[in-house]
Amino acid sequence: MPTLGQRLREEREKRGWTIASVAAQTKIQAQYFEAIERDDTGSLPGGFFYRSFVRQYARLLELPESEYERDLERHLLDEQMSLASQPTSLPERPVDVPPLPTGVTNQGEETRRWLLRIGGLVLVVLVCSLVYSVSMSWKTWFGTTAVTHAPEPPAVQAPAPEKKPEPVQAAQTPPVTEPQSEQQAAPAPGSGAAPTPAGPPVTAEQPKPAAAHPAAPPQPAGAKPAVSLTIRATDQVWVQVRDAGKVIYSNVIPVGETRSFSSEGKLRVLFGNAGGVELIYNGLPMPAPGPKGQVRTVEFSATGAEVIVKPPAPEAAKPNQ
Amino acid sequence: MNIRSLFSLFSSDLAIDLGTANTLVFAKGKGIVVNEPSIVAINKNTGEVEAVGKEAKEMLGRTPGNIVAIRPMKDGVIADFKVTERMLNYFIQKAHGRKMLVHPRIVIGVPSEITQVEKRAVIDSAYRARASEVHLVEQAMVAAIGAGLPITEPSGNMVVDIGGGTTDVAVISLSGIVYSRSVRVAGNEMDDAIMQYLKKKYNLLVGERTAEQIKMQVGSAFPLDKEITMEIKGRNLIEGVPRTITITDTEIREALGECVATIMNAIRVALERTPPELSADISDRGIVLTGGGALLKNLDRRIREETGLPVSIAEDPLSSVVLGTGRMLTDFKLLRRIAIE
Repeated sequence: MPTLGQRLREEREKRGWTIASVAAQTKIQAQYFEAIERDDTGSLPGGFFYRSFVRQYARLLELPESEYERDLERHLLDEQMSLASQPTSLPERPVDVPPLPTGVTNQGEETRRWLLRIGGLVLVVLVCSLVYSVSMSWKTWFGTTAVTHAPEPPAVQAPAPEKKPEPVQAAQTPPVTEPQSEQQAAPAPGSGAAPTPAGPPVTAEQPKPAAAHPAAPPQPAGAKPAVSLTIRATDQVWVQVRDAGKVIYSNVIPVGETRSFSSEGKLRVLFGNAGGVELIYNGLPMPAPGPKGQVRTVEFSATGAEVIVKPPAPEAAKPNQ
Repeated sequence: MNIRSLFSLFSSDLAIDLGTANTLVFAKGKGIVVNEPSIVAINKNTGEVEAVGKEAKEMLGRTPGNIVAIRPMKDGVIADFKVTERMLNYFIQKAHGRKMLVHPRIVIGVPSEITQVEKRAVIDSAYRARASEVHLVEQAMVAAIGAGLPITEPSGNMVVDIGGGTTDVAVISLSGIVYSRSVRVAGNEMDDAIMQYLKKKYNLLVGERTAEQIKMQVGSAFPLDKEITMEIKGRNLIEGVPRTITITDTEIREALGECVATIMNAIRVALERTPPELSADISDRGIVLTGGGALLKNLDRRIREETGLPVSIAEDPLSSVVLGTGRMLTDFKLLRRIAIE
């Protein structure tokens, strides 16, 4: 089967035309027609011009389109293939820009694009979780040191009036108790159910107010905590606990929850709702420090508990009573 | 990386040929996805868009009083900023097939002799149509790329892109423009010329659509081998009633004479201004025609006769620009080289 070039030449010779006359009609250089007839596509300035010149030549010879279009299409495809295998961009050396292959995708480029999209999504999720975890850890730092969930006892209503006296007692008693403190090994810190090896004298009083300042059992000898305090909220209550002037806890205790603190020195506790708590001080239960809705500051030391009037001066507490 | 470019990850890049007559959109990896006339039909009462593209073209010249069909592009540039923005928005969404999260990077072809204000208008309306990045390229350049010319070689190529509003003539070498010129005479001007001619000679009024059809069916730039005729319908100005007349290609050639002469003149000027080394290349390879105007019958022959140079017509002249612009999407190095700042 003759090639396209041979076919064109045959057709031209049939008509008795010379290449020069064809060139004169189309204004295309004769050398290009010679190249086309030799099927030498490389001698033409580019794929586009080869196809265009062949078309013009064929049209001049009145060749039916079906005879050359298929060859030209194959030529176009070949050119696209060879160009696709070359790098498309033009770095230092100029590269032929292919006739735009409609719908041909650059696979690698597309994959990279998708990876980037997915990567971006993962990054966003990571940042979100990081922010969340940081905010959580902040909360825990300022939150409880140890939290015990006590079974929810129905709130024990501490009669307000009764309560007040106790602290006073406590205040008065300290000197007495202090000497008492013997070799008591320190009670375990933290847990609400701290065993009370506390002074035997105190035990008897447990049920009632006296418990408030039970002989401060802990401390002197041992390096273990001298004061242990467990607060159980019977109502929602905001509590701030200072150990030696430093705030160690400042938060709202929800109803039914229990928080325990211990210190080697004094614990100064500010209750936002004095009637809403039940206290276990050094293992002994103690009534609420004040009526519901009142603010009270109580200082717990090894020697006893003492209510302090809101304005800082600790002395003010006594006159109050 | 700003928010917009983050969004652009979810949209495919687009190449847009924002033409006076037709707007074509090429989506990366998909090919040409939109090819519609640049016409928007707007309801004057509500200010809402009634139709865009093909639908709006059907309405052109046939609308009731409250609807106007607007061509927002004129002479290759934006004439109605707001309407262009809405049209672009519509085409961009159509190209994606969705309305959410569409923030593509866009490459747009513009005529070479465009003012700063006109350039700004194109960029702004693309941004307002929610593009994340906009690059402009010269139409003649991308038309050459789209036609498949070896523009990156150190040899001259001459491209004549005859669009709807402008004719761009450019000499390109080493992926740069050596000379370029654009004249605001092209397809639409030819339609106008036909309308004026019929009005003068036959007192017959025809619409834009009819004039365009006449141009496509019997318009020519050089005598044809066989005479062709066409029956046209319009309104007679004197009698005020519809009339049908028959016209020949000779008459229409006469009507188009001035437009074609302007284009010829632009080509001649370009040839005169071309450096001699490149002139030699051009005389070897000839002139390449792209754009809808290249389909005017025997225009290539006319140019060949007048200049004595070989003339080739691009394989798909109507989409050369958008194909070349689309090529930019996969070749950002080349884009950076030829983008207009």
